[in-house]
Amino acid sequence: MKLTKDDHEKVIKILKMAYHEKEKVEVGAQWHQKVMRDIRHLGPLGSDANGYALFDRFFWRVAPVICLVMLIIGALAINVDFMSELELSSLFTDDPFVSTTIDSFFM
Amino acid sequence: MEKDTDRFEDVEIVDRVMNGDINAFAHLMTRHKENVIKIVARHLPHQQVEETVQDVFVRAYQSLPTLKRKDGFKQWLATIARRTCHDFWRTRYRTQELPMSSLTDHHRSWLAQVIATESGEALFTKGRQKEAGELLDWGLAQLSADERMILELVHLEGLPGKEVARQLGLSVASVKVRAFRARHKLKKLLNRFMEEG
Repeated sequence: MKLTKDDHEKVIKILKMAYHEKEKVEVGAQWHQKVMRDIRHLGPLGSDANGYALFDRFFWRVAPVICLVMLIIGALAINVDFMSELELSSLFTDDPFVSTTIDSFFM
Repeated sequence: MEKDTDRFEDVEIVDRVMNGDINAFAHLMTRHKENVIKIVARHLPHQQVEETVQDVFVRAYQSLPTLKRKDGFKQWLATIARRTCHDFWRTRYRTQELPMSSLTDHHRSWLAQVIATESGEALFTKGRQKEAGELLDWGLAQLSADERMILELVHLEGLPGKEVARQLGLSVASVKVRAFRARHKLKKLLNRFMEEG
């Protein structure tokens, strides 16, 4: 038996009624106290409690800028040669100890 | 219909909660619990209602600093309730903890009777809601979490697509496509079920 469009409409009507029937449910009273207990545990919504919400709101606003800055720094880091502090200091001090220490690693 | 005085009272209570008066939140819960319970009960199995209602109010408390229009607390809370139900089903479907109910020949003959009668509603009022509820649960269990929520909100509650999109955080186009797909899928399921008999 294949359902026609009218049959389907009729079934949907019945399902709608069943759906609205579901809302008639009895819920105990304990959940009220549990919620209040959880909320007290979280603390009042004063300035401190708002901290996370404010951070959450503003973080996403500045996130694209932070990502852009990180990309620029990353690109610069790739393009600029790195020189270790030891090598850098050797350029200025001309200390033979530095070169021998470095050489010993590669020998 | 929400009265203006109710809105003013909500604004006042929300202000008190925002200023650190935790106990004032109990008044908001008392004022809106019936609406939240109704929403949650429509979407979830009965044994999950109490726990989810708790979740809704705790979420609402945590998100209160983000509430932009304090006079729209009722609608804002309804959105949180629906999104919590949506999250519940997404988690359920992801963890495969979905109980698959099955239908019997009894349901098939009941459905055939519904179709045959001039007014299907008559069968519903004659103490046969159980079959309709089981048929509904069976059909919904075979849809995805998104399709399930959208079918319930668009086709069973009759909310406009734009409102559903806002409540579930989806685009209007996506809601329209999924609503059509969900209804088509349900039709196919019912057809297959009736042909099996």
